[in-house]
Amino acid sequence: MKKMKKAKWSDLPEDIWRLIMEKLCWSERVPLCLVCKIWRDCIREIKNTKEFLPWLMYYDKGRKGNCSICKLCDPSAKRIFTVKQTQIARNRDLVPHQSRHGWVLFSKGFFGLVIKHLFLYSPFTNQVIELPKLNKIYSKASFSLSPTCPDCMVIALRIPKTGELEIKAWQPGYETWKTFKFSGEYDIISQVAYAGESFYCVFSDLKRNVKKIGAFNTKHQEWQEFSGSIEVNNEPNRVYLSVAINGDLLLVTTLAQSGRISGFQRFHLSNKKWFVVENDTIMEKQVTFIGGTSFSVPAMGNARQSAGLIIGSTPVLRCYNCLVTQQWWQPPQYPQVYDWINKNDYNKLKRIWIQPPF
Amino acid sequence: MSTPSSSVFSYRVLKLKSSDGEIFEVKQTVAVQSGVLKQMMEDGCTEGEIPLNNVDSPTLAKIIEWCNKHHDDDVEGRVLSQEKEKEKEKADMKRWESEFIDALNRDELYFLLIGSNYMNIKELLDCAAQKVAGMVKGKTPEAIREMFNIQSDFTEEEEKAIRKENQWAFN
Repeated sequence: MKKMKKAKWSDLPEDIWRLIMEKLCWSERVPLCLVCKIWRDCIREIKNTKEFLPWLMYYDKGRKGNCSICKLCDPSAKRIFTVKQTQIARNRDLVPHQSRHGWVLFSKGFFGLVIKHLFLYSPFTNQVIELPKLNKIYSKASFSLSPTCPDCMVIALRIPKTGELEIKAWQPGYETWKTFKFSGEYDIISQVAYAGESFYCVFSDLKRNVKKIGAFNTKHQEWQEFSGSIEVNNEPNRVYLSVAINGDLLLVTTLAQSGRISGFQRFHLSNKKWFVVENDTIMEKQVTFIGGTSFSVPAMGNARQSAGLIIGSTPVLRCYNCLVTQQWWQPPQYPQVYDWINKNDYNKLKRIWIQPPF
Repeated sequence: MSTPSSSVFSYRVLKLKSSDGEIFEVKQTVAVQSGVLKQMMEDGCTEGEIPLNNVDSPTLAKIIEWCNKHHDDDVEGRVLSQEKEKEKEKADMKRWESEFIDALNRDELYFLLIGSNYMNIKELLDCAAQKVAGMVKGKTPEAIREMFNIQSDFTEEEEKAIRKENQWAFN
């Protein structure tokens, strides 16, 4: 047999390197950016077609002590990463509001009951973007896009008095908040979610029964109210709002005491009507995550086997299967993709769903 | 006589010439796994020796070994009731594939990647790429550079910036 020539790996065509790196999951690829420029460029060109599940972010509760720990759990690589010297250290009473593209919108202080001081944090880059202080107390907040995009918008909402809605908006480069005021019969702001170009807002009465829905368009900076309203039930609820993959709004209600999911409804954006989700073709195509941050992902790639599930970030908010069986997930409470995380190691920490930046 | 049936056609052979001048005879039904050779057959230009300038004889031998193993001339003829047997066959094939790839040294693996890419044999290329992915997984950038003799072309600042942008990944 003839003797083989010596391989010159540095000459391997980029297409083949890219194919090799596509075999790895995102968290395994990122450290390889440092090998050389060709590898870095290959990795940057790879489009995500496999990883749709969110990661879990863990951090200290920080009530007595200050926040000092921040960890990220990747369901694809089944690995936990520690964010060293996390920039959210020394903060107390952090409350998460929304996660998008690797970022989380937090408020801090006042035992998390009210919103006055907001900041955006990316545990992936360990970067904090402080937002200008609000001079009043706000009840809900959300954001639209990664703050690295100039179009990103952060909003904070409050009802200064019955019949009035106040929205504060911030965009990268703003030194202060912009104020918008709209009138209407509003009671409590239950949840806010972003989709398309609008922040959707769900209002409820004192029992947290959803009454109304409205939308703030970020481009035109206009407010639109939808007429449809729903009764949830007579018990006090907690409401989680996420946006379904077809753009409709998905409302998950849990009983305030037990955390059990008591219902879920979809708001049809095209005909502006609520309807109860049953054997739903949209639910089949997505996975919904609820908790401190709530959103839906398409049931593709690594999320395919979780199709139709509503998965809570905490054990109280258990996993719910809203397809045919409409059953609670039997223990272990997490679907397989997350049940490898040793809960005992982390049960003193807070955890939220975080959308990775890719 | 009637027109040549597919079984007659299948015994026709192609003459593949490696970069170092060795001739390999391969059945058309086997060669069809190569996208490049398939195209040539469709275009009717497989007369005489087909030069494969990017593939040396040891690599071509390996590639043909792979294709012979994966060659299946009677897929349609199998009955569905043999589903279980098929499953077993699949598992056996997977085992054979990983043994085939694992037996290669690093140089052989390199030329197999180049060769299967050049001849457009997707399954083989995928299998070899998976092997390399397993080799780099979890390794430090320094270890990978050493493994493949790759020089870093980053300035100190650029490297620092990448580490900073993805701090979580380098702990």
